[in-house]
This record gives sequence, structure tokens and C-alpha cells, in this order.
Amino acid sequence: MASRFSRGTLARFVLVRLAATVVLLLVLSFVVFGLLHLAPGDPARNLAGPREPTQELLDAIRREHNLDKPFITQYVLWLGQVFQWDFGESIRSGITVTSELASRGLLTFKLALMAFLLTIGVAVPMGVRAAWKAGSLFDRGVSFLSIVGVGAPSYAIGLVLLYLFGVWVEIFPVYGTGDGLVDELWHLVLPAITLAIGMGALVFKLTRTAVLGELEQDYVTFARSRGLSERTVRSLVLRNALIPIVTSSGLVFAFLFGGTILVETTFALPGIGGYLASSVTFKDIPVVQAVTLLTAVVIALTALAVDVLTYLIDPRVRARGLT
Amino acid sequence: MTVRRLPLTPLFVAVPLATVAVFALTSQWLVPDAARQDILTGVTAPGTPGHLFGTDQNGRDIASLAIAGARSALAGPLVIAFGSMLIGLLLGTLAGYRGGWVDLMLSKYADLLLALPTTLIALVIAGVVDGGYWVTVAVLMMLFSPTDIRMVRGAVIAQASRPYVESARALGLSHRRIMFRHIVPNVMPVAVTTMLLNIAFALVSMSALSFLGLGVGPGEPDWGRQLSDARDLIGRNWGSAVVPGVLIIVTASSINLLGDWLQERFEQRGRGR
Amino acid sequence: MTRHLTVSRRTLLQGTGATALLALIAAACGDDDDSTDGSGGGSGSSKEIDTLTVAFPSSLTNLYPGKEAGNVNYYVATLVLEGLVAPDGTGKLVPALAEKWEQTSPTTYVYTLRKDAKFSDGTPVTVDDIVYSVGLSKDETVSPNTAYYWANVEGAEATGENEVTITLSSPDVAFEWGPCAANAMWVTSQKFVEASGGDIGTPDSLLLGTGPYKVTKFVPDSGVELERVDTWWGGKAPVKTVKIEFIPEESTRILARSSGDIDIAFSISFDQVEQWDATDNTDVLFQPDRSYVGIDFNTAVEPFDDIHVRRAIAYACNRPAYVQQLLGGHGEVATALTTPEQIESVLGADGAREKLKTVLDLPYDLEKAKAELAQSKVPDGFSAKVGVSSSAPQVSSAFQALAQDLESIGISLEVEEMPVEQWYGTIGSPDWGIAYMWYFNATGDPAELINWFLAEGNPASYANDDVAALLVEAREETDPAKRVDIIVEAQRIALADLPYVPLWWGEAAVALADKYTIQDFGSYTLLSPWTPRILTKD
Repeated sequence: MASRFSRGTLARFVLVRLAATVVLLLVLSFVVFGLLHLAPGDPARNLAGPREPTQELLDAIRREHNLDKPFITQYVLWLGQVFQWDFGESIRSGITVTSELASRGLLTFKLALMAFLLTIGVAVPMGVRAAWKAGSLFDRGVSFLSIVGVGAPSYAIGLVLLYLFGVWVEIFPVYGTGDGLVDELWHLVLPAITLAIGMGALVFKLTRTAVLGELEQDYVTFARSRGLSERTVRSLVLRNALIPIVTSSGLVFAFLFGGTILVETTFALPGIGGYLASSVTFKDIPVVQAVTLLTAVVIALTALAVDVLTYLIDPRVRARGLT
Repeated sequence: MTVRRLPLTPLFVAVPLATVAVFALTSQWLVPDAARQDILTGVTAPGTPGHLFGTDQNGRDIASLAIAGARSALAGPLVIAFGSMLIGLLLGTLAGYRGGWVDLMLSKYADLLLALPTTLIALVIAGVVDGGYWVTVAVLMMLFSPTDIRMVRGAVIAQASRPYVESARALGLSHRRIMFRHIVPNVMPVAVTTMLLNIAFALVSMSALSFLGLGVGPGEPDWGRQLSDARDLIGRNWGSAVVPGVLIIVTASSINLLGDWLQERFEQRGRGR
Repeated sequence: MTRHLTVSRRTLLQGTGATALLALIAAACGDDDDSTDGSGGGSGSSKEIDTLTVAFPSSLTNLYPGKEAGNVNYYVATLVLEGLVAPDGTGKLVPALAEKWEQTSPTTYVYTLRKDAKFSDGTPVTVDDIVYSVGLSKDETVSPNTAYYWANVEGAEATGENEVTITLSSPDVAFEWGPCAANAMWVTSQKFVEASGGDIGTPDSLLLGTGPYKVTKFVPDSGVELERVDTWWGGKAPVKTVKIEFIPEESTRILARSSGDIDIAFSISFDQVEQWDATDNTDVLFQPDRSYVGIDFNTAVEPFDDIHVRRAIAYACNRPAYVQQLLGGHGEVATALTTPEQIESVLGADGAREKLKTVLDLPYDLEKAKAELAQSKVPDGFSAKVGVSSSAPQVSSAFQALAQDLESIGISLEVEEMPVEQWYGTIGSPDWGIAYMWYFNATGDPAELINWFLAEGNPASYANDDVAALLVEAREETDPAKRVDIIVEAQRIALADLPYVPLWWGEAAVALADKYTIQDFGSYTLLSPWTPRILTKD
């Protein structure tokens, strides 16, 4: 019942998904714009500081940033600019959003990627091994650690790592990004480990659950009873267990990318997490819009990559066809 | 499972969980004055007479506050995790089983929710409906659901091409029956594990939002709140961080262990089928 | 000039919590007690320092203080940009880019520019640059934070090769503080701003000024790097490179000091002073920071329009306990809107406090509070809410304590924490009858806060003809001692009606490596080029 791998189907699938992503981004930008409009506070007032500003001052600031126009006009103006790849200037700082976002987004991406590789590289093999040797000392030990790891806030993990490797044994820098690529990556090691620990505990548990689930399927008993070698059985099990793991790994990356704010704060890194949070409370509309869209693009592309991967590794999904 | 061969597991986790539950149910009689301040006492270290784990900056007793905090620590996160998994099971199964447009729309809906900045939603809701604990619970439930939807969807896709589904189809069972009577039970192990993990996450997230004017106000009994307030007090009273911190970790771990144990039950039932 | 602490990312995140492990860190760090806790600076010598690393708890988004006027913006800007005048250590104005100035009529000020003033790119400062810079500070969209300060200024014009004349619409003695980099003016070059397309203070445009340093790098939420220049008229600063780092997490900042990565930490958290103190080779210094914290009532909002209600709340404020317990004694119970440091140059430290005590004497007395409430139009009590910025934990604690005391007399006060920007919205708003102000006086002018709080458009909707007349008098009185009398009298009259309840005057704490000391460290130290005051201990 397996159909042949079809390049055409895949291409069509990817195109449809990309088109859907564009629609998603449009909807998202409108929803966020609307929410910002509803949120309490006034960016003009925020810019003027806590002192009650004069009406002239407020009017001048509003004119400058088109805030005096009706909601729909504001949105259309913004959208028109975006189609010309102009995301405007931050209301708060006057900095061009694209230039600020490029450096911050890249830093967050590097951090998330490093944490992702650490998470998958360590947690998946350990999860498989733990499932394979369920009940062993290894399984019990790592399972216990994962239970604590999920419960421990990354904030605390970060500080403990900082103390251990930044102050006690001075291997890693305590904060900041350093100069140059190598130094920057070196600075990102502790933050990445911090991010990876909580996620790793999660991925470990999911991997272990998935592999255990497969081991209990009829086909395994069947394969074993037919006398297939343990190696063959293993590769069968792994192949099948891989699907939920791959599905979740996509989410893991999306989560890491969107969830760096805590380690950014602990390690004083200029990423997008803190940028978004402070821009939301300031109601810095162009920044919030741009950061949200960037995050959405990363999430959508990751989800797409996951689905393509699922398609490629799972013959049953291939058979069922893609949507 | 870690303790898979110990029949004691449920008993072992039951002790802390039951204690917390008892605290949650009886705190208004057990520690009626938990939120009582005594600013002249201020911060005191553990072991101060009358204050086993010391006091916070407003002179509130850490231990009493922690006992009173059990209620908000349990209720909200439970509702969040359960509610979001319910949404996840419903929409995720639909998306994974039906495929096609349904899947696309539901996946996009999940993507949209995932992409929305939490702080923004929190601020908007706080501004429009004036905050409050249960509003925060509702917001978090909504924000937790996309991960659950995607998780369930992935698991359902893996199940959908299994022989038992094929045969159910061949027998002409209704889609609804196939989805919720046959597939969902097989997705339950992953779902339950995720749900129980989410309880711990929800506990931490709730306290983060209280700083945006959502969730519990300052001085109200809540572990997450206590823990975050403790960051500044830790040098003068280690109890302020240790008490809520240990309570959160022990509660979260117990719930996780319970999840593992439950999952094992499911698996055994699966084997028995 | 209002200054606010820029919101730190940390405040958004506090909810994510610490654990028991933190206690271990705290214990592990605290093995040293050779640090001193006290104010003032010791003796030392002005040795060359290659790099000084300074850490702030919050970031800045723009280097030009007209655009964003947080404390950090000022501390950085005063190293790069200068005004025509600057404060000395006691809060008296002394020459900066102007070598002298005089008031030729009640509304005319004539400034004579230094001949040796140069921008850090080597170009000389012209009077046109000065006029242009006044224009920048006056422009509402370029400088939303300082424009109002220049509202009373008719214009600035070049009246000679080295002379600039500034004309006011009406007399105001306080104007003298206007063209000061600690407050509302930063001299930059017209050519420079035009070359960067009108942008100023962004990571691309940076700054061009006449001060002892130039900015070489600015990464928002990360840091600023300053390099010494040899064009400053004041000579060569002893510190070659100043690295300013933004570290929002206080515990990380303490660890960064432990590892020796940072030399100085400004605005350290009062709650963690003990941990700073316990850090190796670190001294903690306290200084009054001319900040005022107090309750504002909106007297146009019920039931706060009733003086008895305001009095009831005022009597319920246990101000000595707030200062002692919540600030750890690092502050003073406030008896007026003006801080003592703003009149110290006239009356001396003790004289200033004596004088301000005459403004408002307010005991903590719940019996009196109850009696006042009984006389009010809401004798059975009422409920209200107050919004507190999550970056002000001590204020939140004080309001929680107040809420408990108020509850005992029948008033229910709910404390709501919110982001700092939302807190702005509570000030003077009809939705919030009770609010609070945390105000950092930028200048040494004693009328700074009352020119807002007692003048028209004040957040309490308070109006009193006698007070208004005194404010006008204070604007015209050039004798400092007489002016202080007028300013204190205006507050005495106004505060009898309790539109405001002063709670405390604050202090700021600085942690620095104990090999350094800050010369004559005082309330005004950081408002003029401050690196030359960093001395190496002998």
C-alpha cells in the first residue's frame, strides 16, 4: 500500500504551506495590531515620561508616528511599508527596526540553535537508551534527573551554572556577547546549556515514552518471534518512534527560539525576547509587529520542515498523502 | 518507569500531594492570618521564635503563607493543564485524523496562538477585563493549547495508519467513533505525560504574569509569587526561597511521577487489549 | 525634569522564580567581611586606569537624553555631551562650555563660550552649534523629555563671536539649570546631526559631543563603550576606556563582580545590599539621590476630594517604619516635596532638614486616622486601588503595609502591580484617586518638583491662589535664601491641605571594587563628568 515517493506532491505541499503561512502572517499582524490598539497605555505618553505632557507635545509625537490616524489607516500604512520591506522605526528609540532586529534575531537564533543541538544530541540518545533498558539503574537515574530538571526554573539553573563555571571555576564568561564570532559562541555556551536542560528533560521523557510505546506494539513481538535480529528490531522501533520525536523537536526549536527571555535576562544578552517584552509594555507598535512576525516565520518554517521530515521518514504518512 | 517495579509509587507520591491538597482545602482554618503583616518585624531568618522559616519584607510568616498558597498553586495549574489538553485532544485528533483543510486550518490556528506574544495578550486582557486570577488561568489555558494540539496531532498521524484504524474503517465505524474511541485511548500516554508536565510549567508561568498585573496581587498567598519575591530576600532569609521552591519542585515532581505511573497503567491496559 | 528608572527586563520576569539553590550561592559567596558599608569616599590618587567596567541594571534605548531620560541615559551622556553650565559637588552651577554667564535682565541670560571648546572630532564649537543644540532640546519630537523645559524660552541667538543670548518669555530663576547636561541641554554639532540624517543617539548615529569621551560602540540591552579623547577643555580623564554594561539580573551582576568582570555597579538593589557587601573586594557606598517618594491624591476624585479622607490615610502611613524596614534605613522620612540636598547649598545639611521639618509634621496615629474618617463623608469606609510599578518593590511593600493599617479603620486599598509605563498612566488620572510619585530631581533647584506639583496642571488637581502667588514670586526672586523661604512657605500652605503625602527621600547605592574610591562622592557626583573622580587607593 506504500506509494512511491513523489517529488511533485512534496513540492505542491510545500507551496501550499508557504502560501498558508503568508496568510497566517497577515492575520497575525492584524490581530497583534488590534491587540496593541486595545492594550492600555499610550506610546506618546510613554515617550514623554511620567510627567503629564501637554496636548501639543502629545499631538506632535502622534503625528510623527501616524498615531493620530484611524486604526485601519494606521494598519494599511504600516502594511504598505512592509511590502516595501520597510518595518519603520522604533517609537521608543528611533532606531530602524530592521537593523535592530537583524542583530538581535541572529543572536537569538544562534542561541536557540545551540540549545536545540544540545537538547536533541543528548536527550534523544539517552531517552532511547533508557527505554531500551527500562528499569535499569541508568533508566532510573536519568528519569529521576529529568523529573527534577523539568521542575527547576531555568532562571535558577542559569545562576547555578554561572556560579560554578563563571566564578568558581572560571571557564566561561559571566555575561554578555563578547567580540567576534568565536568569542560570541563561547559566551553562548552557558546560556544554551541553561535553555537545554529544561527542554532536554522534556525531550528525554517524550523520547523514552515514544520508544517504550513502540516496543509494546504487536509488530515488535511479531518480529522478535519471527527471529529477526535485535538490531533489525531496534531499527524498526526507532524508525517508528522517530515520528513523535521529530514532531516534538520542531516544537522544541520553536519554543527555544521564542523562550529565550529568561536566559537573556540572566546572562545579559541582547536578544529578541527582552526586546519584545519591553516593547509590548511600551506599546512600541512597529517593534512588536516586526518581532512577532519574525517569531511566527521561524515557527511556521520549523513546522513545515517537521512535516516534510515526517513525510520523508514515515512511509505510512507518505501513503496517506500530504495536505 | 523510574520506580516501575515499585507498587509503592502511588503511595509514595500520594503523601506530598495529599498534604498539599489538604492545605489547599483547609488553609482558611489552618492559617487564617497567613497574609497578616508586621512591618516592624520585617525580614527575619528561619528559626526566629514563632516563625519557623522566618518572615518576608512585610513581616509575613513564610510557612503560613506557603500553606495558604497551596490553593492557588494547585487550582490554577490543574485547570490550565487539563483544559489545554482537552482542547489539544479535541482539535489535535481532528487535525491529525481528518487531514486536509481541517488540518491546515487547525494547524494554522495553533501556529497563530504560538506566535502571539504572551505579554501582549496578558496586558490586553488585564486592560480590558481588569485582570484577576481566573482570567490569567484562561489566558494561559489558551496559550498552552497550541503545543498540546500539535503534540496530539503528531501522535494521531502516527496512529492513523496503524492496522487497527484501517480495520475499524473497513468495519465502517463512524469517524467520530474511530477518533475518540479507538485513536484517543492510544494517544493518552503521551497526552497524560504532557499534561502533567504542563502543570509544573503553568505553576511557574502564573507567577510570571502576576508582575504584569495579572494573577495574584502582591502579598497574596501564592508559591510562585513568594518565590519571585524571595529573589531579593534570599540574602537575609533563605527560607523565603527554599520553602516555596521546594514545595514547587516536590509538587511538580510528584505530579510527574504520578503521570508516569498512570501512563504505565495505560500501557498495561494496552497490552491487555 | 523628571527622571524615571527605565523598566528593566528583570521586573517582567521575577515571577519565574529562584530555588533553594540560590540560597547555596548566597551562602557560598558570603565568606568575606572586609567591605565597608558607608557613604563618602576615601583618599586615593588619580592614577591612569586602562579600562573601567561599569554595570547598570537597566538598558537604554537611545543615548540622547532628550529622547529618553532615565538615570542611565544621564550618567552616560554627561561623559560625552556637555551643556553650557554644570553642577559642582554641592549643587552649585559652575561653567562648562560657557566660561561665564550673566543675567542681564530678569528674562535675558548671556553666555560667553569657551574659546578652547572642541568636539571630539576636532572641530571647534561655534555659537551656531549652541543655538542649534538649544533648538534640538526644544523640539518636541526630537526631545519629548526636555521640550517642556524650554517652553518658557523665547529663543536663543548668537549675539557675538563667542556669545549666545537666551531670552525667556517670563522671568524664571530656575531657568539657570536649563542649559545644563545634567538637565535639559546637550551641545552637539549641527553638521554631525545632519550628516546622520537627523538621527541622534541611535547605534548607527551615536553622539558627537565636547566631553572627555566619545562613544565607540552602542548595543541596546548590551552595552556602551566610551573612549577617552584629547579634545576636552578640561584635560585628559584618567580612565582610558569606559565599558558600560547592562546586566538586568541583580544576582548575575553580583557574580560578575565576584569574578572581577565589573568594577562598579550603579543603582544596586537595596534588598541585596548584604550580598553585595559580602562580595570579595567590594565596597558599598550610599548617597542621597535627591529622590522623592510620596502619595498623590487626585483631589478631583471622590472620596479623595474630602480632606478628612486624605488626612485619615496620611495618619495611617507609618513612615519611620517604611524607611527603617523597607529601605534598611537608607533614606529619610520626607517632610516636604523639596529634598534637603536641594537647599543644602544655602542652609547646610542640618539647616536644610530643620527648615523642611516646618512644612509637614505628620505622626503615625491610627486613632487619629479613625477619627478623621468618622468625620468624612464616607464614615463607614470605602475601597480604592493603587497602581504600583513592578520596578518599585519598596513602594509596593509600603502600600501593602498601608493597606493593612487602612483595613483596620475600614478602608480597603488594593495594591496592583503593573509595568512602569502603565504606572505613568495612573498619575493624575481620574481613574486612580490615589497614586504615588517616585521623582528623581535632576537639578539642584529647590523649586523643581513644586513647579510641577503645585503649579497649574498638577496631578493632584490642586489649586490655591496663595500658593500660586508664591510660585510666581519664587520664579522672580534672585536671592537664594529668600527664595528658599518662599518655596518652603508655598509647600507649608499647600501640604496643610494634603494633596500629597511625602513618604521618604531616597538614597542610591553604588558597589565598587575596593581598589578604587570615588572622590567627594555626593548627590551631584554623577551629573558632571565623573570618571576623573574615580581614584585608585594607595
